[in-house]
Amino acid sequence: MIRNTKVGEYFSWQRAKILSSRYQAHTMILTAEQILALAPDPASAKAGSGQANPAHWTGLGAHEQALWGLCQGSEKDPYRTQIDFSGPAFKCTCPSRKFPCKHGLGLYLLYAKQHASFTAKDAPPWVSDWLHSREQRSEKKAAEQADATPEQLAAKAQGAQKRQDKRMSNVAQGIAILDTWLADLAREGLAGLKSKPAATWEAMAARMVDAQASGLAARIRRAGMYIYGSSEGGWEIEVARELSQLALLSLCHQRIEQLPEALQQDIRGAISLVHMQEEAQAQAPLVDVWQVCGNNTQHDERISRRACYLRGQRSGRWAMLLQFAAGAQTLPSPLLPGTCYGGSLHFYPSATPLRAAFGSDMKLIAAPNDIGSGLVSDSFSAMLTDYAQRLAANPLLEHHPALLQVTPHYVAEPAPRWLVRQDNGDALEIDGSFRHPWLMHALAGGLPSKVFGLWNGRTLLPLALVTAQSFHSFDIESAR
Amino acid sequence: MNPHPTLHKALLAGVARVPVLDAGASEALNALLHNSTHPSLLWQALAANDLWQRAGFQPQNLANAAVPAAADERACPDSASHLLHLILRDIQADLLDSWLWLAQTSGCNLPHAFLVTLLDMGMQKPALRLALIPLLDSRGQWLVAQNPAWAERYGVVAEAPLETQWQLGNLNERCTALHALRDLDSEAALTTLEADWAREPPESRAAFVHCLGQALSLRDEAFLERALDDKRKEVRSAAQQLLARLPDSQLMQRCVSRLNTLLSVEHERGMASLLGALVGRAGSVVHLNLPEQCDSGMKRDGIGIQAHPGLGEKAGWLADLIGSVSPDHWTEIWQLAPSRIVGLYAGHEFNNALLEGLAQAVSNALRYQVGGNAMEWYRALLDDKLPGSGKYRAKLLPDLHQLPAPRQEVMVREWLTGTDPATLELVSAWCKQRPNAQPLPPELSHLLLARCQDAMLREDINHWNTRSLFEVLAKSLDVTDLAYVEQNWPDADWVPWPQWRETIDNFQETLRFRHTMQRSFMEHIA
Repeated sequence: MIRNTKVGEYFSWQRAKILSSRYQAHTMILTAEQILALAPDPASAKAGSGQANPAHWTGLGAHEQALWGLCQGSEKDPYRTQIDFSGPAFKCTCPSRKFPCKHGLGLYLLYAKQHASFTAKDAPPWVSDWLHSREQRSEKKAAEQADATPEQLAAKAQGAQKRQDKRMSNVAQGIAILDTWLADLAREGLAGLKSKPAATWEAMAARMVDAQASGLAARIRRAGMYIYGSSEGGWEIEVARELSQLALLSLCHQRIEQLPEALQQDIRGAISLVHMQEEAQAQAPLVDVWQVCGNNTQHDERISRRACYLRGQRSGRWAMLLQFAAGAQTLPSPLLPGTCYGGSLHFYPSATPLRAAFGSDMKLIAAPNDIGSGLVSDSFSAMLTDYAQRLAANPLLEHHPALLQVTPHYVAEPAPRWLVRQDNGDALEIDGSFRHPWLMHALAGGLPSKVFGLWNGRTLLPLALVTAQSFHSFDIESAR
Repeated sequence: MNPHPTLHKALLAGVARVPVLDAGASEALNALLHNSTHPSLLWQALAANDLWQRAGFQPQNLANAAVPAAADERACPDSASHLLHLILRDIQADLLDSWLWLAQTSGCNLPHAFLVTLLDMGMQKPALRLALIPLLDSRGQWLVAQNPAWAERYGVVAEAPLETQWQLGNLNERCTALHALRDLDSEAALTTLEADWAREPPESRAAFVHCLGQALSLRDEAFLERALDDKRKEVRSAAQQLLARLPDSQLMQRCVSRLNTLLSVEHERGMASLLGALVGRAGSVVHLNLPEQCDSGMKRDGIGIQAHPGLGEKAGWLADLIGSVSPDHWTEIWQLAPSRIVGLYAGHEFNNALLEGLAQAVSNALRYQVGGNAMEWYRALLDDKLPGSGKYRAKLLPDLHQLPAPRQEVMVREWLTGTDPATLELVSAWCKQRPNAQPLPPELSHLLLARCQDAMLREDINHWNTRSLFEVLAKSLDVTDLAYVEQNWPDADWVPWPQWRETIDNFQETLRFRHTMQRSFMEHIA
């Protein structure tokens, strides 16, 4: 059985390599706007722009795979800055902790506006060594996965199972405490919660973290925010939603053995927020041209999280890549909406697979000129039917990506609210957390446009508006 | 989630008080919950409700679509739009005015992707708002009209009649209405103001008196004379300033009669005049007695109100008196040219008081008087041979913008070809005060940069001041052809280069950005 799986994976890998090699010849050069969108913060974007001047650089060079240059900084030796187009990946010898640093951004911006200044074609050893080491790392990773013996795989699986058992034992203890707490809340009701200290919620969240149930802890904190973070009415509905989901997760956990394997993964993921990348890499890859449709970045005091959504141009499949940063660290550079990646994606096991990891062959490739035309939008009825089916398969599902041909619609009376309207008059409410309804309205001009967003069963959170020429990402606007 | 009323009640009051009997979702769920007392069933019922509602969501129906924006033809070129994106990302952010000016002169509209950002920025910046309004195409106007806050500030909503605005508006709106009424019929507007005057609070009274500057004439004099007796200082001061602008006003006549007893010129005759001419002395002598006191009548006319740093009390009264009289009065009674009178004043013991008062009078004449010798007076006061001319130049510089652009440029060119070391700072100030982002003509740009480069080589300008000087020039110089910007810099081995490098790099970078910006709009025209 293991042998058969290995053979299947081998052929999938070979197919992935053949398909992905088609994309390697078309290196994608980003525009100045896209390069600036990679900056970790506005200050870096400004500083990087200041570096985009040939006067700051020596030894500028480029070939089809990379570009490089030397920038004289405050140290004795100039900084060596290099960029691999395929990521794009940056490397610089400056001491900045920001990534990419201003030199990396400046070098790429200079290349975008003045190709002619990059006269050298032969990469110096420090560039070719870096590119070589990147290739080696990628190949080694792929080889490790492909060449593992059945014994190694079995040992690895056994270790993972042991860790999982230990985790689930801790989680079971945490869930027992949670059940008692939820029963008390149900008995007493929510009306008096505002007069009680917020520390109660934080303490319960901390107990869930101790029980390795970070997913439950996050929901408890979120519910606490709804109670104490707003003075508006109707907060009890939001709190009830979170608490009912906690109860649902608890129930699912009690009956986990009776549920399908894929749904078990969803339940474990929702409780502990731990997903092993190895599990995804073990899945058969799906090779396609993946167009980045939008990002959704969320920050809280502990962790920053960015979900990047992609859609396969041939398969029509949606995929989501997650990026994290802890504490004050900045998130990695986002995948830029409108850009395309060619190669394989490995989906994490789930009843409704969405989260995925890049395969080692994934490369940034040139997007078509009419980038919006390749994306096929859904009708409301198709999107709602699809969502209902997914919800039936995975009751823990929160939101799902959707691309809709709609017109933003502003209703001023009796209370201002925003909707998106389909040509037949059907309308969906825009999520109240959306910060750029006027921008979306300005871009659409009262005409039907492709809007990419997340549907949660009640409201749509727009993340991008797509025209034939460009993607307008609302997430980048939020980050400014 | 929209829970059933029973569930909602149980949620708030607790299942101990309100048992969950009906989940309101389906019969199967109700049967499951029937007779159950476990508290967690509340949460499970809510979760089931939520799933049921989300899975069976039905969109609402909006029968009527909103009216879309009309199509536009004046699209902004992509390259110009990209540069605006950089500007709004705080890269060369100071060049927003230049971008907007280029867009207006090229007949382009605002890119739709930046409408919201710019409209929001303009809410707090009236000057930016004024620059944005002509660039709003039908999409922009369509958008502004739907947002009440924008519609009010950007004036897209239909305005109420002027009389209604005057009666019901806030102070700003009432001032705007009064301005407009003055334009239509200055006497009727004055009558409207007089009718409500007694009921107006002091702050409003001062603002309304300033509004009378629009279409000011002797017909307003009686009202302004009464305003000189107002209890509020700001009201009196505004009225004094307006009366000083009217050449034949009673206030000016009163000041003239006071000065007649204090100030006179004696023309030397015969041999004395000839000898004076031979030794280079003026052939006339100014006789001056400082005012002994500032009586209540003088105070009513605004004398002694203004502070004059560097002048004594009596010299300050003298400056105020001279400042309230049209400068042409002196040419008429003394039969001397403006430059001659300025020379006489400059040679007098109290030259500072005399010239400061004269500068004030010339400023008024330049701004408000039609005809006369205001230009001649202006040139005479800006003569760099005049002692302390820099002071008067700084005072009179804002008035330079009252002149037609070619006249301004001729004057600046004269300054630049002179030898006064203060010229560069003066020109820099002039560039800063220019009302729009229009670049200087090529010839003047070349001359100005050459003068700066020369001063830089000789280091006769303070390096720290030059940072702002080059920043101003970077926004003002012509950028049609940048060849001159790369020339005439010191050699690479010039010792002070390290102190200058960053300033000059930024200067050149800004000019290159502007050059690219200008070209991006020219592509559109081509």
